[in-house]
Amino acid sequence: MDKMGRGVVTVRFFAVLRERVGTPSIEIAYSEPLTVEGLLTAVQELHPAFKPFRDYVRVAVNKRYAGLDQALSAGDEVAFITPVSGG
Amino acid sequence: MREEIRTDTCWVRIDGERLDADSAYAFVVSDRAGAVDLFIGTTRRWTGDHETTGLSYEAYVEMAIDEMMRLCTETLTRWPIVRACIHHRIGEVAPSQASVVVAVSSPHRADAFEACRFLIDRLKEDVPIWKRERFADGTEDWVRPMG
Repeated sequence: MDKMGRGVVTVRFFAVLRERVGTPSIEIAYSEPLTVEGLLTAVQELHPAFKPFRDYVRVAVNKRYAGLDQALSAGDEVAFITPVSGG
Repeated sequence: MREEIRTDTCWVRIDGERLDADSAYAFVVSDRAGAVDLFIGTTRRWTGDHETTGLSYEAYVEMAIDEMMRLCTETLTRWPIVRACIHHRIGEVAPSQASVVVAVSSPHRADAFEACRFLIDRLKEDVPIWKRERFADGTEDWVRPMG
């Protein structure tokens, strides 16, 4: 994020979300300060296929789970994590 | 593919090949430990009369490795654990093969049991790995994609 609050973040999708959205990752450019919650809304508007999953995903920022109010910085790698099922 | 982090006390690995429980045991066993707890999760063909003919796992590998390492480190702060190890397989896994191996060593057994259970329970909640099941009728799907 520069002084004007602009930047680009990468959003990664896995498993069912990767299939439904149709791509493993997208880039989201923003022009004012962006939080995790704002990013969820932005992605939902761009990719309606994400909408049914929105209430179920946890969000990771730079490989760590993050809260909805976390501010994003340019270059962050964000992942939308549907309920996991390893083991 | 294979990604891993290995320190003196923790070893985590995501592996595209068959898991080797012996290597996990060999890592944790110690002359300071009187107990080794080894948990092996295997792929289940039968759930009641419901047949799963194949399973595959996908991971957010870079984060899964970090999360597994955080869990191992946490067990070392919560229990008197000597060493902890988690190996998880990804890709196709045939029925009855190991999909996950967890190994923990401690001076006495109660701590090893507790820490081993903590690791597998938390892995199933937090580590970004997803299971896809293939059924006898040819259909396949991700396991509970909405929780």
